[in-house]
Amino acid sequence: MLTRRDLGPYFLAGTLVHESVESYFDIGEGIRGMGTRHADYVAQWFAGKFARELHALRYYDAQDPFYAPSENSAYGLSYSVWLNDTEDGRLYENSPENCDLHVVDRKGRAWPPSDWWAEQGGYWFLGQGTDVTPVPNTLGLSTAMLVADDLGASLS
Amino acid sequence: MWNLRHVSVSTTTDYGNDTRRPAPAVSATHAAHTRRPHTVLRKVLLLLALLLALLTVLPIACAAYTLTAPSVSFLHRFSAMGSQQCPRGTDDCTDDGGAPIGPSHGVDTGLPAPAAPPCEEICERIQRTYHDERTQALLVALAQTPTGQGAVAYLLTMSDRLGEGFITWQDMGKDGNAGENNAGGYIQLMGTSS
Repeated sequence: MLTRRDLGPYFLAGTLVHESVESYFDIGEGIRGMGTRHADYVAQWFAGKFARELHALRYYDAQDPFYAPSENSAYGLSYSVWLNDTEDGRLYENSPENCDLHVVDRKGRAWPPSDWWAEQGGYWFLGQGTDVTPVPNTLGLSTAMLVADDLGASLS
Repeated sequence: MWNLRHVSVSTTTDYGNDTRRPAPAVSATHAAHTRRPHTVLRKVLLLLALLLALLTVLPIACAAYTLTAPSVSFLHRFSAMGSQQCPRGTDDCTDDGGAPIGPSHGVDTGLPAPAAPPCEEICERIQRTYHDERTQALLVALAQTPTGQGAVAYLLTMSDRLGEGFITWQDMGKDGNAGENNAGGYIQLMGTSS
């Protein structure tokens, strides 16, 4: 979940990166508890990385002259700094801390919100979603990121 | 009604008491005479009716065009992309990506903003896969950076397998959320649901 504070011209593009990260963990890893602070930290880290890259391009930078790299981003920050010292992190303070990495649910399967059986957890052959394996991990994500103290350090 | 109208004729005619009864020749003359102002009035009324019809139809036609025509900003975006191709090494281009040389903040200096970076095959694939212009615009922006391209590759693969309903737009203004995904990994973005 991403909370909206302002809507710059590319804010929603960053939002889509954020949701793509969470969607991958949902489907590709079967870790469905994405409404947690640590998951949002990872998602905001990639959203912020994307925003930095985008605004390094003169065309997009010119379109968004009020862009501030620190807004809507966890990129370059540790989990604790992002959560406690940034406005962005504080937006998520009411969410649970971590998801349970041991609970893997219907890995490789996806379903829309309209699939009632699937949303209830599935029952026998009902609500099993669609098999979409192999799920491409094009952002280089790993479950260890969901508990990492500093994503920048763990990636370097 | 027009032919039943009383036509006054000269009382000095030879018809005596019958003068009230219109004689063919006289009444014909008079009829032509008396109809002229009505004909003009009829034409004026006809013109007014045509004008009224035009005034009624034009706004409807304009509204229909506005609703069916593609978004101007979207057309501008893609026409900018079409015009951004720039051979490397020419005076007007940088060596790092073919973008014309210009100020980074064209809006501040009053000079034209730099053109968008190239977006060819992946943009075509985006347009083929996702038909919602809002989704296309976001994915085109994503396609410009390495991190964004990673997300685009994932989103295009998922939509190949699950359909373009993998990304939908919902009215989530009340919650203040810009985006959500359900446990099944489908993505909903803030906006007016279509």
